[in-house]
Amino acid sequence: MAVMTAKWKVFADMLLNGDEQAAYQLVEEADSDSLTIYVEIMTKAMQYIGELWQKNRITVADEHLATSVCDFVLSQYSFPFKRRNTFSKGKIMFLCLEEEQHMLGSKMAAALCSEKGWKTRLLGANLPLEYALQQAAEWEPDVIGLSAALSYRLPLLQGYIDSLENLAFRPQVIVGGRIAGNYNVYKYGSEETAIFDSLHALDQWLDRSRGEVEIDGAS
Amino acid sequence: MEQAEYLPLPYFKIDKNYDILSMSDKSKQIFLIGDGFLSLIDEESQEKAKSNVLPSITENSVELNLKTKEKPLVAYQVNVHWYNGEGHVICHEAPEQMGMISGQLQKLRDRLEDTDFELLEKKEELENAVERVNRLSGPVIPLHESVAIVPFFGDLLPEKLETIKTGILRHLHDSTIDYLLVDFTAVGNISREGITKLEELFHTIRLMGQDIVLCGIKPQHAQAINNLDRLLDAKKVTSLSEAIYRYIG
Ligand code: B12
Repeated sequence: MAVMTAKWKVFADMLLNGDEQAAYQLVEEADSDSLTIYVEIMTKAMQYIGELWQKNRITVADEHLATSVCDFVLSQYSFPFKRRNTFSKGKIMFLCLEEEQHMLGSKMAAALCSEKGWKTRLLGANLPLEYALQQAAEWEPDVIGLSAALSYRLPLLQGYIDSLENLAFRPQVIVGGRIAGNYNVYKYGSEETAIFDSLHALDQWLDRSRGEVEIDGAS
Repeated sequence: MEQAEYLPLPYFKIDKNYDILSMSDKSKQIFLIGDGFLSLIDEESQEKAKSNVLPSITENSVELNLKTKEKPLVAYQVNVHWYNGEGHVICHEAPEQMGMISGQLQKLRDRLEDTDFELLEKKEELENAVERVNRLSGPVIPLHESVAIVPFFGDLLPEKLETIKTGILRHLHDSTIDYLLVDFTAVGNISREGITKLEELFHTIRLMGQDIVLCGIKPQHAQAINNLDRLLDAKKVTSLSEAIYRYIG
C-alpha cells in the first residue's frame, strides 16, 4: 500500500509553489470541518514552512509567497460564512498588536466565529492601541480577540488588555496566537482575560459562552 | 583583514566559539552587541545560526533574525566564509522591498475581499427592494364580495409578473370573487416576454373560474392586448371607472 503524505505537507508544497488552485482544491476536497482544515492543514503547513526556514531550505521570500497563497485559499474557503450572521450570537472583533504582521491565525479565528454565527470584524495586522480602542468604542463588541506571534510583543500585551478591558461597555478580552501557545501570557492579563493556546480551545469556549453546542457547519 | 572597520556593510570576524575578534564600524552602528556574535541573534534563530555558522561549513549563506538598535527583530542575510579557523561574516538586510510589496499585496487583497462582500450585500439589498417593488406593482384590492381589482404599475417584465402572479393566485384561491378587473392605466411598457407571462397568468385565472375584465388599456398596449384578448376572450372596458360602475354598481 502506498504511503500517504500528510495533507498539510502536500498543502505546504502547493503554497511554496504558488499553486493556489491546487491548494484550494485540496481544502475543498478534504472532506473535513473548518476547524480541522484551519488547524490540521493550514496551521501545520505554515509551521512546517517555518521549520524549512529553520533548516535553511527556504527563504523569507518563500514564506511571503506561501503566506499569500494560504491567505488567498483561506479567504476563498471562508467567504460563504461571512453572510451567516443575521441572527447573531454576539459581536466579536479580532486584531493583531502593533507591528505584528502575522495575521493568518486571527483570520482563521475570525472565520470560525463567523461560521458559528457571530457578527465578526477582522481589523487585521499591526493595529496600534489607539485605533483598537477607537474601533472598539464605535462598534462595542462583546468579545475582543488579540493575536500575536512575535515574542518581543509580549510586554505590549498588558497595555492592550488593560485599556480594552476597562472600556465602559466591559468587553471580554481573549488572547491567542503563537505567543499564547509558547509563552506564559497569563501574567499580562487580568482575572477576566481568557487565553487560548489553540483554535480548539476557542471553539469550545465559543460554544460554552453562549450556551450553544449545536451549531450548523463548524463543530 | 586590514581596515575592516571601514567596510560599508556590517562585518564580523569571529572564532569557532562565536567570540567576536573584530568588526566594522557599521556593525557597531547597527546592532545591539552583547557578549559574542550569538548575542545579536534572536533566541528563535540561535539553533539555525549554530548549525549553519561553523568552521566545518567553509562557505554558507543563511537568513537569521538579528537584534538591531532600532528593532528587536530584523531578517538578515548572513554570509560566512571560514579561513584558518576564523569566520568572516557579512550581514545585509533581506530585501526590504519584498516585505513592502507583500504588505501592499495584502492590503489589496483585503480591500478586494471587502469590496466583494460589500457588493454581495448591496446586491442582496437591491434584489429584496426589487422584489418588494414587484410585489407592490400588482396588489389585489377587493371591491365587493364578487369583484376585485388588480391595478398594474410600471413596466410589465416577466419577473414582475411572476411575483404578481403568486400574489393574485394566493388571493383568488378560496375566495368568492367572480370578476377580476385588471387595470392597465399605470402601465408603461410591456415586453414580449411580458405578454407571454400575462397570457400564462390569465389562463391560470380563468382555470380557477374567474372572469377577467381588462380596463385602462392605452393605445400603445392595444395591439399586444388584442392578441391576448382573442386568445382568452376576456371582457374589455375602456376605463376603470366604467368597469367599476358596470360590475359593482
Ligand atoms: C509565515 C511567517 C511570516 C510571514 C507572516 C505573514 C502573515 N501575514 O501572517 C512573514 C514572511 C510576513 C513573516 C515576517 C516576519 N517574521 Co515570521 N513567521 C512566519 C511563520 C513561518 C509561520 C507563521 C504562521 O503563519 N503560522 C500559522 C498560523 C495560523 O498560526 P498562529 O498564528 O499560531 O495561529 C493559530 C493559533 O495561534 C490561533 N490564533 C491566532 N491568533 C489568535 C487570536 C485569538 C484571539 C485566538 C483565540 C486564537 C488565535 O489560531 C491559529 C489556528 O491554528 C513563523 C514560524 C512559526 N513556527 O510560527 C515565523 C515567525 C513567527 N516569524 C518570525 C520573525 C522573526 C519574523 C520577522 C521579524 C522577520 C522575518 N522572518 O522576516 C518578520 C516580522 C514581521 C512583523 N513585524 O510581524 C519568528 C518570530 C521569532 C520570535 N522571537 O518571536 C518566527 C517564529 C520564525 C522564527 N523561528 O524565527 N513571518
